[in-house]
Amino acid sequence: MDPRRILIDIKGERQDIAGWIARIPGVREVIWQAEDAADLPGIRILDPEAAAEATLIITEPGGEHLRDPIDLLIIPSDLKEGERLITDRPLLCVFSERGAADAAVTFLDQQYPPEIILLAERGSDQEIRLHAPHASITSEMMTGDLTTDILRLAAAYDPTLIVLPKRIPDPAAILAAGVPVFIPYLRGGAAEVREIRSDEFPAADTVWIDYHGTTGDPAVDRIFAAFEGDAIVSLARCRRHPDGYEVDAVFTPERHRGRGLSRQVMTALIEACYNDELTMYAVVHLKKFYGEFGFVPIPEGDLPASVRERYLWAAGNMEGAEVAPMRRSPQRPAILQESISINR
Amino acid sequence: MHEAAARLDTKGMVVHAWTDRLSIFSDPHLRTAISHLIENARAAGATALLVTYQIREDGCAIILEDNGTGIADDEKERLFAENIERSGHGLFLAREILGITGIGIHEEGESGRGARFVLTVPPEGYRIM
Repeated sequence: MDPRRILIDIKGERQDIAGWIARIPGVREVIWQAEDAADLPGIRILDPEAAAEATLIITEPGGEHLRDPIDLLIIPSDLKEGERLITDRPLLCVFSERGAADAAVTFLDQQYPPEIILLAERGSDQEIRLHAPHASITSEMMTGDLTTDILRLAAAYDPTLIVLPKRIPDPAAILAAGVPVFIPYLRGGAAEVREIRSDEFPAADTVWIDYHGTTGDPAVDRIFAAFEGDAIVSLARCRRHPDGYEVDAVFTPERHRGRGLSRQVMTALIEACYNDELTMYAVVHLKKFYGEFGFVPIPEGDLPASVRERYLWAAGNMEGAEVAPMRRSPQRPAILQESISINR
Repeated sequence: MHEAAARLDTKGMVVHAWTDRLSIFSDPHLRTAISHLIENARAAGATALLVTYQIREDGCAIILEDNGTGIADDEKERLFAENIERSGHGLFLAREILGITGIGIHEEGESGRGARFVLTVPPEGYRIM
């Protein structure tokens, strides 16, 4: 879900929507087609001409944009009130088809919900759990009628959002729960994440041209990448210095951002390199992000000398960015943690 | 190496092998040894198994770590012994197969948290491609 620019496709008076939009994380711009746009603090209101560039559409049953090839957020006429972010406690429907399963995983990678209610087709919830290692998960299997299952779970667990990676003919029945329904648009498969081979290093260098002209060296680097088809869409590197390992060059080109790709690539890097102590200079506003992978802030003097030296050399390119030295001690990555709560 | 431990789903256990670039000199039966370790992890109730490598001063370590029940402390010693009472000689054979090319194997996991098998490859026995 990329809510940076939302198109509001709602007819009639809906005073409740403005307050509800404040509960969607990451909204920057709203395109409001109604005559009088509501006042939304901190959010820019755009003219309807920008509609074609929306990243998400908020619509209703019968909405004009209900069939657009883009992520939809369908809201009920009778919207339940609440305080929490709408992504805090999703009811996530997981289907075994590849595209739908990928959409569920992408939602988790982007939103990192602390609580999840899973409604899964048999056997399709394993991979999902790996993408939410710290979440408290309540899980049930689908029994047959999807609408009945969703309404039952919505009544029992009070979700903030229903995530349904499937276009269904009649969403109105599900909206009776009073919970908005997020229907991601299923594109042709999600990104593949893997370590790149030595002969692919030049392709990574090309992507890094926009990242201080970073280049990889097969002799000392391991590079992890997300691919869309043959194209690299996100990168991270683990470099072996004589006195320790450094993680750097975590980079996603602008047009691929907002999909959780860096989180997927970092997850891969940590899985592959967790046996060694890893250090980095993190940009300050990403400290929390790297904290999720087990990195903790350390005094600069605790960094390996080669890492400090390289930074001094590169400092001219950093344009005064605030950085924080961090370290990850050798420890098992999230995939091997056993404390995943399962309620059946 | 990669072929022996390629990413695969083993009846509910996810196997992620991060060894694509690692090439080791070994007996062709290496695949049997690795398969046995993967099967052991599954039998111990693991939901995930990671295969990674670590470059060390004295060579390269290949680490197979899972989140199953692990190996009880009092079993670690006899783990690799030839034991006619048990149904298989899996780990005994694995150690023999690996030993042909100078690769050692031991287990160093924490009982209750999962098994951690470490294969130690001598410096001349591996290459990063």
